[in-house]
Amino acid sequence: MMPIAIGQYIPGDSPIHLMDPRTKLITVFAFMISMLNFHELPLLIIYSFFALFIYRLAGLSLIFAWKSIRPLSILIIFTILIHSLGNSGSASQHIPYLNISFTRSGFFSGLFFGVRIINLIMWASLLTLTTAPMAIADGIYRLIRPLKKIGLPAQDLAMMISIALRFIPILFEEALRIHKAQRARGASFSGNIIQRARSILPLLIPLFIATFRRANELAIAMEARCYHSEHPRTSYYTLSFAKLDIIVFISMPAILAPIWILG
Amino acid sequence: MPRSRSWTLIPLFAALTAVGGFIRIPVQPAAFTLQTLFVYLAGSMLPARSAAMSQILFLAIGLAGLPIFAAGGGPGYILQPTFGYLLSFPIAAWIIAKFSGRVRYWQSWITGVILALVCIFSIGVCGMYFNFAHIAGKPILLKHAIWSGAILFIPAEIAKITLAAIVLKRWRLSNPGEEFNA
Repeated sequence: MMPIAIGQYIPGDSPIHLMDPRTKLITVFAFMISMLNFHELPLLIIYSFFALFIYRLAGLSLIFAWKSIRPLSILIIFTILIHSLGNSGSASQHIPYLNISFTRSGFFSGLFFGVRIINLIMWASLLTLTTAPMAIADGIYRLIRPLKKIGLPAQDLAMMISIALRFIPILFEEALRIHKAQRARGASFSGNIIQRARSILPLLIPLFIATFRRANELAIAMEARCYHSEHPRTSYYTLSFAKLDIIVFISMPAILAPIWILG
Repeated sequence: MPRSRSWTLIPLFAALTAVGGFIRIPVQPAAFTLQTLFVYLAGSMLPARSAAMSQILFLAIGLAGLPIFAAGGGPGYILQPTFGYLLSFPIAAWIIAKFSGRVRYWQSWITGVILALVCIFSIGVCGMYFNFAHIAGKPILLKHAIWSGAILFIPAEIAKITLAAIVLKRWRLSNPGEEFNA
């Protein structure tokens, strides 16, 4: 029940890890947008291998690429199957009794959409595997900070993200503790649908009240320390673009150009 | 609501929605989670803007890579057929807050919750339909999408709305006057 504490982030000191989170956010975003505008299977496969190369460059074992694809594997298999069985092309293989036919063109178009999904996930996970959640939050904050001028409370948003990141593991522990405490008092979490739904109440209400108390205490503590968000905050670690980030920004259009020209 | 309260209550509800996704009630045919329960509760207890903000925060954290959605997290989650449901949470919470904020009648709360439910289902089903048509590249019948994406979940949602009503009632009994959305 504790997948949150671990998260997806794999610490390391590769060039990808050391890159500015803003660079990574922009690059991954550019790659994902480009992938959607794309209709050539061979080119797509080349980019998949390029993604795998970046994984190795980040010092990540390819198991991590597989781990990020696994939750979507059913969707991918389903996509390939439904394409190859449903397309009304020249049937290359007719399956008796079921009255459906397997087509080669359908299979390839299914494969294309499947590889595209794999590609998108690999790029997206690259960001979260090599960047700590707080660094991503910081990067997002710095990217949206100019929007302050049109009334977006960027600083409040960044602060609330960090509070929520802290709350999630605490609430998990709290829920687990209340679950154990109620079991020790003889609460049963089984039975038919109505009994099960009712059995969640002794878990839910203490969780709710305890967490409200916690949020209250935090609010009082912040007030007591005169926290306010009128002035820009300073941070201990400041983000700055390094040589590597500039190289990435220059080479990215070159890497993505084939997609926009050939795709 | 004082500002310092909103600074902690908005993240609190974002975190509760995240944790709710992991509290599973195993019933046949499919287990359901308490995620939407906390969407209803956020809408019932916070002012409209804050309620929507708490769910936007939940989405932002999930998209930034924390594995708090049903099948993980990260920006790739936009491609999941179920992403439409998540996208509807801020709007749903906002609707409930608008309906239950000023008038404290249970009828207006129920109206808000039902409208929010309609909103979750319609955005969710549209998202699923769009996903199959454009990302998986294989359109499905709208009829099937509505059946498997909305009708099947109505009993579970009614159970969660009942739970939300009970929790709200207990909360108001034990903390009279502690309201945030008035």
